[in-house]
Amino acid sequence: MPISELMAGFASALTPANLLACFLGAFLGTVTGVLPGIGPAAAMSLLLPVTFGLPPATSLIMLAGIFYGAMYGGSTTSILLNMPGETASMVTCFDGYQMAKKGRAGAALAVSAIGSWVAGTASIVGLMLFAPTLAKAALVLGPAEYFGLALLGVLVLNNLTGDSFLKATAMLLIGLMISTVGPDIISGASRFSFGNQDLMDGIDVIPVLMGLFGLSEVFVGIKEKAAAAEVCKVKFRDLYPTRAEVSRSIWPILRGTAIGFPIGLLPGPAHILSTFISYRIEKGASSHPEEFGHGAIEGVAGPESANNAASTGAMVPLFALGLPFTVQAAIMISALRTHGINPSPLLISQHPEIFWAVIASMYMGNVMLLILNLPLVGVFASLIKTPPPVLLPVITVIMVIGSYSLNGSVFDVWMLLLFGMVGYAMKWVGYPSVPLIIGLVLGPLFEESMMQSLVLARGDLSFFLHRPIATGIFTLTLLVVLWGLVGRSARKAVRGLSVEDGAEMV
Amino acid sequence: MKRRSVALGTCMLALALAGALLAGCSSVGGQSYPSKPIEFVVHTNPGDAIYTFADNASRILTSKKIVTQPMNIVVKSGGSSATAYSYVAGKKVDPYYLLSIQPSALTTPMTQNLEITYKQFTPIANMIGEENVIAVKADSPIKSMKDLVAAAKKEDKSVSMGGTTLGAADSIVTYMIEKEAGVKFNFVSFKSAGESVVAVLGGNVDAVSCNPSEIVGQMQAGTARVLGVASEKQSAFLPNVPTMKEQGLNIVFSSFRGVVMAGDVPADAVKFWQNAFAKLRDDSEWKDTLKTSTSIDQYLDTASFKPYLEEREKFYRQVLTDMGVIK
Amino acid sequence: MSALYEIGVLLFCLFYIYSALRIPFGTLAEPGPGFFPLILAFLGLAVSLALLVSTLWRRPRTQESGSGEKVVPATGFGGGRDLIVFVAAIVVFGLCFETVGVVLGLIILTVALCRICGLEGWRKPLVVGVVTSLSVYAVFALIFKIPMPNGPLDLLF
Repeated sequence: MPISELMAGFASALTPANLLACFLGAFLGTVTGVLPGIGPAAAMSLLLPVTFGLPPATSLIMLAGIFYGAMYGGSTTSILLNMPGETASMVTCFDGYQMAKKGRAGAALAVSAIGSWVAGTASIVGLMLFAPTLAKAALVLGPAEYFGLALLGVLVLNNLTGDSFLKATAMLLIGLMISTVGPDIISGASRFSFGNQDLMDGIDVIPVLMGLFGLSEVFVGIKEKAAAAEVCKVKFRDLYPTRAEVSRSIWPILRGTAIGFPIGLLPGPAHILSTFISYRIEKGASSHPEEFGHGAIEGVAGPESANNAASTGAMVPLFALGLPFTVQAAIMISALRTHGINPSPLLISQHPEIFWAVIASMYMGNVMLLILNLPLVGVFASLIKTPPPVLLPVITVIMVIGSYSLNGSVFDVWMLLLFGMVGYAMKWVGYPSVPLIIGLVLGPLFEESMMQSLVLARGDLSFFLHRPIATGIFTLTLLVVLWGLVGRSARKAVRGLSVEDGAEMV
Repeated sequence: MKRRSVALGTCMLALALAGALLAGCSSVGGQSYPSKPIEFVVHTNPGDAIYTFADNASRILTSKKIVTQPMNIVVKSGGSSATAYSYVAGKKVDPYYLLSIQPSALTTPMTQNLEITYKQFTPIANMIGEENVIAVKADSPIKSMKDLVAAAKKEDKSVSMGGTTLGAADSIVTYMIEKEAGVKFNFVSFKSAGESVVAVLGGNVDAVSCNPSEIVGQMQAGTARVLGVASEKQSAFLPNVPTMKEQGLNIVFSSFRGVVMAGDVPADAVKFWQNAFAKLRDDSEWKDTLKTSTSIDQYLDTASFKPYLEEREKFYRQVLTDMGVIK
Repeated sequence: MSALYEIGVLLFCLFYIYSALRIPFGTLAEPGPGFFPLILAFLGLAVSLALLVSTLWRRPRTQESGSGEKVVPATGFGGGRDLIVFVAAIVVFGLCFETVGVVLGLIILTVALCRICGLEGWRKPLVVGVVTSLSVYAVFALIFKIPMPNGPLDLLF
């Protein structure tokens, strides 16, 4: 345990300048997490010019603060409005929003903040102790392994809400198809663009997500005027979690952290995957899985911890290898470069003062965020008391501008609207929208790793068999799928129901 | 109520007209140029080399008071840089827009069959260039370009080379090596240079083609070996790395990074920026940024930039056709 | 009802197949841009056909028992007209706001939406509209410096 370095790190992190930088970053990060359409990358780019005049450690402290701060903020709108501020907060909508409807919004927000803090702090320890080893291990994963993981993800995660298998698969395929709009990774040829410049780059996840979840919910509110008239009364007693809720959250938080951290090490949609996997596992581990989707607190505690752990995990390749696996890490690397520091595996040994100062500030940042978020739980929870005729337009306006702000293009607003209508239609006929998002999010990773694997294999599919890790992953996938099918057939026989009825897979 | 709104409407109309007249006046050279903020358009996001290039330039130009108006970086990402190009090309005579230009300005119109070409812009100057290298994992049995070629000669596509899209600089250098040495690599495309470097470090591809900036950190740490750099003389950033020429492969290639403006801007604006960028080139702080961005000085003034672009366009068209990227 | 949706999905898959067929497929060793899309397209076609068939086959027998997310339309078509106007308002905004400017456009949009959602009078919607519009502008355009069209306000600056 490198105590003396850590102490030195704290010493430098506790200077007024660094404390201020940390707070500013964390605060700004939370704001971007709450607002749809603005992600941590936007805030980080904004502050990048400011970092020129600051010492390197301070710059990184601020940028890192934005990064993990966003994970705290994203859950707020997910819980209160069923509108995820970040793609990583999508899963929190499932149960968080249901809890809010039952008047348990405060509890959900509080558990989410606490879980995020535990996960953040614990994963910093991981970062501190194991960064170089973990990073080297992660290098071994190549296209074949990523393809395996994407396949596993797609098959295992697409039925989180327990709907009919066929319907979920159909939506998953649609999501995958939408993800293919845009440039192909090898030739750069743009597909399905029909000459439209906006389509040339593909369809962004955020407007689709906001449309399917947020806008469709708004549409429901307008159509079902009678139902929308009820206003939840939030009593003070309800603002904080009950003892039962807290004790139910402990294991999900710990499991979420354990899952999120290693996944954060991987490139690709790490945050989102970690939340899905955590949700899946919590559902499987729970003694009352039928509660999931209707306000089970485990469904909030687990994923929220996972995404914080993942965002810290994402720092591992940055510091240990000097390689950016995410856009946010790339921005941090360019901040380092402008100070003449070349990010490399030698970063920690050559510039320990920077590494340890950032680590120490991350501990403090997480504490700051906890202090910021907990008392605000009451404030946020009371926001949903706003009468629907005001709330619905305001949410819609924020989503519209959020979509526009992604690329400065009205096209994203059209996508928001389109998928709002699609999402509404899906609600009407009972089709799940989650698999569509999973398809859209995992599609690029799936396709890229598949193409790369095929190119490396040169047409010889035994290529996959020569790679033990990949083979292991494929076998695991096969087993999970088989177990699912067997499980369903067994339940089918027991209950004598037909396949299409809401029987759960796994 | 109605009368009030009519009056209000007329006032607003008058205001608008006045404003339009004022705006019209200032841009016709009534005051000295530049008299309002300048937009420097790029097509990539912060963290990317091109954004950094524009950012460094703007920062130094304004802080050294070579330019007295603020310069704002505007990101018009999209359409593989097509959006940025059409945006500035559409400005036609407006001299308040600069555009960063690099090989994709020449190749994207070819690969995407766009109507916009570099001819619709007024070249101002080229500032820097980025070189290309080939690298392998440190403990790879391949220790030089000779070894690489020998391994590749054994069987077509037996050696895998990581890079990005077909048509990007790294793929072009790979192609040039293939032609020069008479071999065929198995080119594996990754979404970004960073990912291709990760792949080679993990042993998932045998070699990687990339810019010095992506690999210098790894080289210093001893996790990667740079086999050769595709330039006339050895790179200052990669000590002791032989050029490809020195190893018998006559390959010299670099990606230019320069500045252009819209097609029909007034001559005094062009002259202004010519001087500004010439001054920038000699600035010591600018020279420092070359180090941090691992790029080389490849300054070309306005007169030389235009023919350079024409020559490059022919080169890229030839290579991309040979590679089969365009017909 | 479900059948309509599934027909929509099927049509989408057919359209997708048609477009994907025109993209080069490549080979197993050298997959082209159309490789993945075509595979997806055929899978999609198969699944959507299966769904449509199973819905049509079971319709005379049982009611669609659906799953968690279904919303049963309660009060006839009451809110439906409002929904259409709501969507139309957003469409109008999308078409005009680059000319009118984001602040003005948002004010108008918010006012319109509030009225559609049943807020009475003009004062309340206007207050909500101005507050929302200015705060959104402050956060997105001023703090995060995301370029927003200013419309006629450009002439004043």
